[in-house]
Amino acid sequence: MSDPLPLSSGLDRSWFFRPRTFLAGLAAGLVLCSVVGRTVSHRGYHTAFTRFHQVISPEAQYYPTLGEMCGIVRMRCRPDQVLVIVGGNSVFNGVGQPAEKMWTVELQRRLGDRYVVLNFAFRGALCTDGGAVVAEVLRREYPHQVYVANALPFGLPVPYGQDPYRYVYWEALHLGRLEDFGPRNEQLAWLEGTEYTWGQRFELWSRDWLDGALRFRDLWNWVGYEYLFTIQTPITPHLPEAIWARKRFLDKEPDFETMPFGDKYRPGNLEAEMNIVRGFSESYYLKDKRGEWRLRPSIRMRFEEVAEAAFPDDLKGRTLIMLSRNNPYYVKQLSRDEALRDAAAYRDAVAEWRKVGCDSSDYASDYDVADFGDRTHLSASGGRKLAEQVAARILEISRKRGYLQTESSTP
Amino acid sequence: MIFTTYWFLAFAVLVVAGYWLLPKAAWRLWFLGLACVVFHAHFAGPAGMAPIIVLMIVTYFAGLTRDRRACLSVMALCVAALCFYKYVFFLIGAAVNPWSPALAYTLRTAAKGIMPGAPPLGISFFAFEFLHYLYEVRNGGEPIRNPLKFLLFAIFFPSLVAGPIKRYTQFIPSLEQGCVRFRFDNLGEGLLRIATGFAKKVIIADNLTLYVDSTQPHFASLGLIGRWVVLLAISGRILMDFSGYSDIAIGLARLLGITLPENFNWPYLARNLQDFWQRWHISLSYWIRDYVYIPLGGSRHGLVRRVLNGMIAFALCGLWHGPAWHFVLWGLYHGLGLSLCAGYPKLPVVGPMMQKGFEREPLAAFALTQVFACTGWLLFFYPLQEALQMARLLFGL
Repeated sequence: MSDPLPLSSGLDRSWFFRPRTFLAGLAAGLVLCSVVGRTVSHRGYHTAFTRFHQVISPEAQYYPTLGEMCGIVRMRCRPDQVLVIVGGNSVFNGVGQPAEKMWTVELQRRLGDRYVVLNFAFRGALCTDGGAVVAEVLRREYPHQVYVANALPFGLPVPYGQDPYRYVYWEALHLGRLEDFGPRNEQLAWLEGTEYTWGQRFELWSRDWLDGALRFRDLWNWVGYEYLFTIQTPITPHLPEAIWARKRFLDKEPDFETMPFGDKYRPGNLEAEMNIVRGFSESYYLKDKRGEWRLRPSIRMRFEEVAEAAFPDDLKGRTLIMLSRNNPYYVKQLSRDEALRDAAAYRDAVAEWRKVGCDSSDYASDYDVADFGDRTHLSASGGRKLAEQVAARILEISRKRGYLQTESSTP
Repeated sequence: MIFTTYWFLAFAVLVVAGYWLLPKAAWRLWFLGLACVVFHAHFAGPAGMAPIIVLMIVTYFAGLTRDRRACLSVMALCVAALCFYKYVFFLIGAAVNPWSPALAYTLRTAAKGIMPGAPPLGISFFAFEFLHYLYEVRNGGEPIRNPLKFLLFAIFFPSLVAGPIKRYTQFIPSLEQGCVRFRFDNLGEGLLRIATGFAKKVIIADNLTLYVDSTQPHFASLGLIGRWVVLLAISGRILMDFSGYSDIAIGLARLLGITLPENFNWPYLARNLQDFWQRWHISLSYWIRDYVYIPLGGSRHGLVRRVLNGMIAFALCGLWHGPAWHFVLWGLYHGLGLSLCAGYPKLPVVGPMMQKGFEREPLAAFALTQVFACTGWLLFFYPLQEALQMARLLFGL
């Protein structure tokens, strides 16, 4: 018979490691941590919030929670003000615009202090991600609200968002903070039936349920933002910056307005960018017998089905979808036929969004090359033009919905 | 990783609560058996469970017969199953491909047709535990007669995924005593051990992984200190990762009143390589010692046989970690190191001087041991050429 293995031994019996002391500490610690998490998320701690810039976004392993975003709203917006939540992708996040020249700063200036504009757009997000969920969750707390986001023509506004931002949707869903909205439920059932196994659904549900009770993600984000981040990321790869409190990182975006033309438009990229510009409409359109571009029926049907489910009915009326046009530097290089197809795509997409009940418009059809920093992102001058256009639309929505008795601020 | 899923967390809470809420010890064992089956079925699936069930049944009955030939046959079956499920492609590549690539291709295709998508969950642990059981019974040990207790020994869920590799002579008494009465001490100690394990895994090991993954590709462009920092991170990561899993397993078993063997005992404090292997993955190194090295003759037949036995044992120890040559090389590297460690005092003149020197300066022995062990991780984690290049850079060559 072989020698026995050394067995795991009991703990040192000093007072600190007494099991009862440990258990009491564990229970007290859990309660304390969850109370802190709940408190900070409700109150908000992003005192200098401008937007979710790169270091406080999922790219840098910082996943703003639903509670955290709601906390920002509560910190900034009084119930008597009109809340304007901005969602969408990097264009509306203001990539290429320094914080002080960001288009949403201009939008706030134009709307005046009866409105509060909060930029919850993320790089690569859909119009149904992040900000859209916050708008829906706060629908009763802030009934006077407008949700603004950008989208691409006939880019599918998947009602439950897309990764890596879908976690916000799951969080709201599992906490019971979303409306019971039939068309979206159908889409979700399809998603859960096809893309998620039972085990994955269980993991999502358990994570959100447990987090709803204990608020560990809120607590951890607060610690990471205020005091100490604990992991290295591709955006913060080196020590000691990797463990700095995320609030130490300033919102540093390059300024497209001062960037030399040659840096923004490299000849080597032209063909690739032109292919993207053509791709906005190429696969969606067919020519009819009269030689005019027509949207493929299957595309229209699928888009209508998904767009119908994108926002609950009471949110649609206060949602503004802005369709992002490409830089005229590229658009002018389209053939006449391609340009006609491109124009048809924007016209039809605006009509489709309006058909499902959202307000919609395209932007940048009359912008200059200097208003862009690359194919799609706007420079500060482009941002100012966008802010002017969006402000007018928001005021119109506010007027229609009776948010303000008298409009004192005009663009 | 199974331990870091919510399913596992929920499962563990329900099992521990249900286990202690039952009024009789016998009921607890039945409940625990059922829980182990559910756990295994959930993570291994039917295809992963089937071969384990077959091995379990034949091992149980072979043990009951206490017949030496029956035990030996089933031991051979366990080894064959392990080789088939885990090493078949490696063996075909190593043994057939060099002299007949066409035959190797045919064999690979045939193996793919009958193999499940992945090796059955925990096959290495099952095989080693069954081999241990049969070896001991064959040598006169008392078999486990109660099928439920044998089932619990075979698929005890806390140790199913990442060990420690149990010994039935310790496990069964612990199981029988532990299930009788709830002890508050076990709850506190188990939870503390689990918390320690999670902290090691999630806070330390996962962060070190991020650091290593982002820095190692630029290893050549780092300064000398930077390269050693990366090596320390690699060494720290594997310890924290693996000992974290072991802590969770040991802690969870403790919540059920059961004591599992220790797997790590501050290995980076070892003062020589023998000491290191008494502290690192203890349950595996003892298994290799008891069931490979000693049966091969151990140190009983002279220096040459001793070295050869050590090299074979450690090559198998390396291969146990995965079907790849760099694991074998890592094992041989340690086998060679242990041979040197055991043999150097016998060298004329130099040997006794070195031995006295190390006794006077234990810090030097400690440093040499750790440099050897840590540099070895390069072979463990990277292909041979890359590992050698990194080692060369570490020593400024």
